[in-house]
Amino acid sequence: MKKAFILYIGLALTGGMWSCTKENINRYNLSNVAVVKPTGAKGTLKTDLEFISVAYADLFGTQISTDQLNKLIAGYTSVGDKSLIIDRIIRNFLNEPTVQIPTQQQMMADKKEFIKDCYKKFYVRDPDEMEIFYLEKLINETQGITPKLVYYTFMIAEEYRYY
Amino acid sequence: MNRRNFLRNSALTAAGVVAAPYILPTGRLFAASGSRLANHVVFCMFSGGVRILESVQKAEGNLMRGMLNGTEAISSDIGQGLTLFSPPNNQPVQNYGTLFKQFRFSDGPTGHFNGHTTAITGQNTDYNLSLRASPTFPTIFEYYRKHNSPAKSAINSWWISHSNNLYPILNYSSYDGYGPDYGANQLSPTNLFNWNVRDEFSNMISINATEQDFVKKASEFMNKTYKGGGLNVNSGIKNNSEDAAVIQAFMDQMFQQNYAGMHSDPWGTGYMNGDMYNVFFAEEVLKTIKPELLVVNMFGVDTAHSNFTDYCHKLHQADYAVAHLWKTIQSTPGLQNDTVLIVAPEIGRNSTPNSIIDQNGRGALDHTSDNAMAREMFCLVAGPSGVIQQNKVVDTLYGKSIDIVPTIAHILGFWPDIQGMVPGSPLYEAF
Repeated sequence: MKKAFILYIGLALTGGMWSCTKENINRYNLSNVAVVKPTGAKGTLKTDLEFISVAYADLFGTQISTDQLNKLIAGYTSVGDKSLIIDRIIRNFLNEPTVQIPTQQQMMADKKEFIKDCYKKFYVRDPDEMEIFYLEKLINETQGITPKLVYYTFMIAEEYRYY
Repeated sequence: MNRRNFLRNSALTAAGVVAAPYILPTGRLFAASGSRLANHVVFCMFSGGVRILESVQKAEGNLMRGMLNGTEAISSDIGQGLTLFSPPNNQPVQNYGTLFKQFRFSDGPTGHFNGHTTAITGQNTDYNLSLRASPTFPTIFEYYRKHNSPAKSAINSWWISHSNNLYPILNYSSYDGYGPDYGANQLSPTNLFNWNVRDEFSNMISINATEQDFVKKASEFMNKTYKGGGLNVNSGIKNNSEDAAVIQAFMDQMFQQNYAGMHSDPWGTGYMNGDMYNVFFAEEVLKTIKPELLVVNMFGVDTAHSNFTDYCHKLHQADYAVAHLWKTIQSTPGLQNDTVLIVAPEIGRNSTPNSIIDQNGRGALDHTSDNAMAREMFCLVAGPSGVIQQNKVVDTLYGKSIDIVPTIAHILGFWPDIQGMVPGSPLYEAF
């Protein structure tokens, strides 16, 4: 009985060895490509507090102070039409001497690049060709457009309300 | 009125209106079916809790000489430290209308926010009233804007609140078919037009017409190409661009006045408290924009919780503010002789004092729902002769807080459209 068992195990092992076959594995390599959705996958509405804080950071490159934020909140909660009071806040920010903004010469020297930078700064994404074309054309056709005005336009558009 | 009855009555009213529609030049299908008695209504909520003893019953003398007839001497202890204002009008406001001396906040908890909500919605409240959410029934602002013909924009409807906390949410409700599209422009001016915050809102980049055109085209393009979100970005009240420009210009003017020191003593009284300033800014809105409906409140008398003497002083100051408001209305072209002013507290105060004693040995006053006097108030309806009965006093039990919304609707011509939606009725004794 013991010999039969050992023989059985030996045959099983031998059969297993002979039944394994080498499997051909097909491998596909992928090149690294950055995949970004045109809308930057933004679907979450900023709260008004977040909006003000982010707007300040985008324009001044630093976090807003608690004191200034409290003053803005006091005024913000005093007006029922929030789009109206936020408009005032943004236009006030843009008129501050410490706002970080390209010069008129920088904008006019390379409008395409300026527009791309605006999309990255405010919308955290690259613009598509249509967006670059349209805005560059509009800047060219309208006399006296300043970087502040373009920044203002980006900040009051709907996409800036989302992250 | 409970929600089931409200829905039933809304349906019946809508059915009645549908039965006879006609097309207006504006394209609006449904017209307000009543006729107007005046083109402007100002509702001044003499709020913070006012007891009829110190007001119309003059238990401490006539503290309200701007509004009420009589020269009853002020109690000597109360009079100490009180800056007496000379009434700004030739006669007390009472003589220009009808005074209801036994008006009631008849149902619901006797809390400030309950009182405000009832006065602004025409509905009684209960202990489930949320202090964090919009009212569940339409406000007078929404009724006015929706049921008037032609339909009214928000610039015609204002809620000037003493505080930027809690009370602003009364500018519109969460009721289906109403809401922010019909809400009021809300402003808490004393929290905005002051030296502490003015720098954050008053130094804007200017945008000329050409630049405005660029902004319009560019932002319209961006909004069309943006496919994300899907949420209503402007979920609250929003003015159209023309009205927004008017309001921005008004704000610019207020900030300029503030910087120029013109807000330090605009009435020349030597002293102005928060109530007086709130009414002052309401007057500026009235003079500049001339809205058809404006509600403004005061709150200083709530100091009664801890100091009875100061409560009496605040009562005197609030009275002056109302009298000055009437003077402004009657001296502003476009409002003069075409405005009805309604004045009423939101609640009363208890008949018995609490345990806090002031410097004159007087007990302070709370406003609890189990005390009958906390529901007793006054109401004054002043307006042009021929519209409002002049120098009339109703000293019997008549009128409730829930009747203020119907009264405003009656004056502005849309009472038939909302009758059945609210439990009260107009204060016909005043007309």
